[in-house]
Amino acid sequence: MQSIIKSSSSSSSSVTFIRIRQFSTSSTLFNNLSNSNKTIVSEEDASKSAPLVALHKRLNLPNDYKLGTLTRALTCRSSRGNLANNYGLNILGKNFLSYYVNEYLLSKYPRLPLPVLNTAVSSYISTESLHNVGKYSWGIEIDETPILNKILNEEPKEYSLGKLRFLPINQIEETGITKLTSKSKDEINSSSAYALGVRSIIGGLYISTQSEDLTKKFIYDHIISRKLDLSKMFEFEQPTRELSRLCKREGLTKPIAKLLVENGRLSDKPIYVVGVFSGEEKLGESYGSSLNEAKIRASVNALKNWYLYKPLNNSVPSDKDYKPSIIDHGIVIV
Amino acid sequence: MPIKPIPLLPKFQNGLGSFILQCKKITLQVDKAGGSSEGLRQFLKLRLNNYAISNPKIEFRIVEKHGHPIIKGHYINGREKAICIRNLNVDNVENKLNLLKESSGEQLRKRTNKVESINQSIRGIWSPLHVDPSIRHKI
Amino acid sequence: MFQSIRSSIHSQLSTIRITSYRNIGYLHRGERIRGLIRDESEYLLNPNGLKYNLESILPLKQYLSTLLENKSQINDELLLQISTHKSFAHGSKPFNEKLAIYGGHFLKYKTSLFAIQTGGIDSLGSKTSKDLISRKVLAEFIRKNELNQGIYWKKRDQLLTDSSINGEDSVFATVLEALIGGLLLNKGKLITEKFINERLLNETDPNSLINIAKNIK
Repeated sequence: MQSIIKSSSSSSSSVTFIRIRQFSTSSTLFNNLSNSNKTIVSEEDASKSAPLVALHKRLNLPNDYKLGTLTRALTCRSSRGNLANNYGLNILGKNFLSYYVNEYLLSKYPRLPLPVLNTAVSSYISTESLHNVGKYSWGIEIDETPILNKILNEEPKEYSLGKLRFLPINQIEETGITKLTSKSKDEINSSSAYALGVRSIIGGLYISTQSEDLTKKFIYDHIISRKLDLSKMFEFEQPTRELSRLCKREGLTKPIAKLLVENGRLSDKPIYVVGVFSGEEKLGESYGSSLNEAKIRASVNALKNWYLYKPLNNSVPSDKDYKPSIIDHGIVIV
Repeated sequence: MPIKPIPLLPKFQNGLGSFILQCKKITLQVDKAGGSSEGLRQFLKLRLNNYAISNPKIEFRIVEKHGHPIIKGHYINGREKAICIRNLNVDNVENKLNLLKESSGEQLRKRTNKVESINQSIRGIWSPLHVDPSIRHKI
Repeated sequence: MFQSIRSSIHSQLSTIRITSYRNIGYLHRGERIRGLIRDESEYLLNPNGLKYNLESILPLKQYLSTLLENKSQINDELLLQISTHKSFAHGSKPFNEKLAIYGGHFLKYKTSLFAIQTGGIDSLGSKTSKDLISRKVLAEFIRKNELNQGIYWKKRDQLLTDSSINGEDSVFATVLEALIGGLLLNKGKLITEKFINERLLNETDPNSLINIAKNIK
């Protein structure tokens, strides 16, 4: 296959072709923390990379977001070459993500128990979750073409700037060749690399715009807008006992399970609907094929009604028009 | 621990919050001399530059290869869609490109339901046990 | 056994309280007797011997009053919750666990922005920026600002005196993080930012995290 070389007249289009990627002679296997001796890619070079320009536009990043910063966000610390890496951007992005996701969940569900809150936060921003964002939502590609192929394809060296660069664990194995050296600590798998890339893009957005609000909006649009059903994330060990502890702590009357409706008690498929009441108030209701099952399900329902309480006022503390809502007293300890 | 959390992964809802164009790359395969590539050659010469500028979210790649011209869309979900555009004129080539651009990359399938949703019905499921006791069926 | 319970009930009949029309509650004071519910105010004490009540939060309230100036103050119940660790009273009183998680994230977030302002993006992840919000430094902040008396928690082991082992550092750090979390949830971001900039990341204040982190090494 041969590529036709066509240069575009405008930098905003993504039609590009270039030459071979060059490597610096200095060994960068053991990268040090500082980026001081690393080069930051110039805008002119970066705009020659079609995938980079396309990614920038696809994510609707503002014009302040330099292509050089985006390249940096895609360069992991373990990657070869002399480009500035995303170590600092990743930390910044991580801090942004963990704060805003925590804030969102705490404001939306003020009574969420801590174990569930932590799991929900990691559902949004765990390595696996961010890998999905990077790969299946943003369409970032990995720079995995062997160097020889790049030379043969006459691929310009700037082309791969728009791809994720890192040192992968699973190097391509060839028959007859045994790897004797031990695994380097810099080797990471592709999902960690994707997560690093996504976090760094978010960190880079703050660095470029210096605006917390814009970065917050970006996180809400891309990370939090995904659907997560929290009610399926609970598993109670002793729901009836926990409910009675909860009622005691909150000063409610002891919960009592009452049979509301039943059908086919004498058949082999009976069904019961049980409600849990505290005094006159109904706390929860559910069904079951035995009285005990229905009672346990009803208690679970009551506990979920409590823990998944959503205040009507939907603002978060970092909003300008924030109105305080309830502050939870903490999980019930059985 | 009294409450055990069950880890879940959130589902994407493209278009809610942010919309990401699913087509990320289009490869245009052209023959330098072949007659069936005439329309694509004209497109490359006259319109590609403007087309690429008006669609900055897509990366365009031109490949020269002997044979009929083929345009191929590469999608975020990892799939590809290829269309043979032999003997098509410039306008039809552009139409086919638009088709690739607007596609989600998902495999075409018959939709059986009028409404597809990842959300539960807001009305809930009808229950025979919750109707008025006077008309409730009893075994 | 039953005889002794009965006799102690008779001797303290005057302390019987009627809590509802059907139940009679008796809270026992004095020497512990098996089977009797003890009066909370007798045994709910923090390691300094302070009773669990709203009086102990006065230092914290004073500390915040200069920050909030003429704006409405944080209510006392929230302040008490902020100063109560989960280990106290087996979690039966409102505790600061979630507030601390939330406040901790905000503190981390704000210190990373502070680090970028002072040292650029490469200063993130360095030892100095990590030390700034280490448990030890946060706990020292609470001690330096004399907020450590009214904190409710329970020592893992009464005999341990080293603060880094017996849990004191960890509990005090949690309280500071919970204070940030409580401020955020009650007063919003602007005031909390003011608190962090004026009290925690203020180089001119000798009791700020920056100066504590410098001296603690």
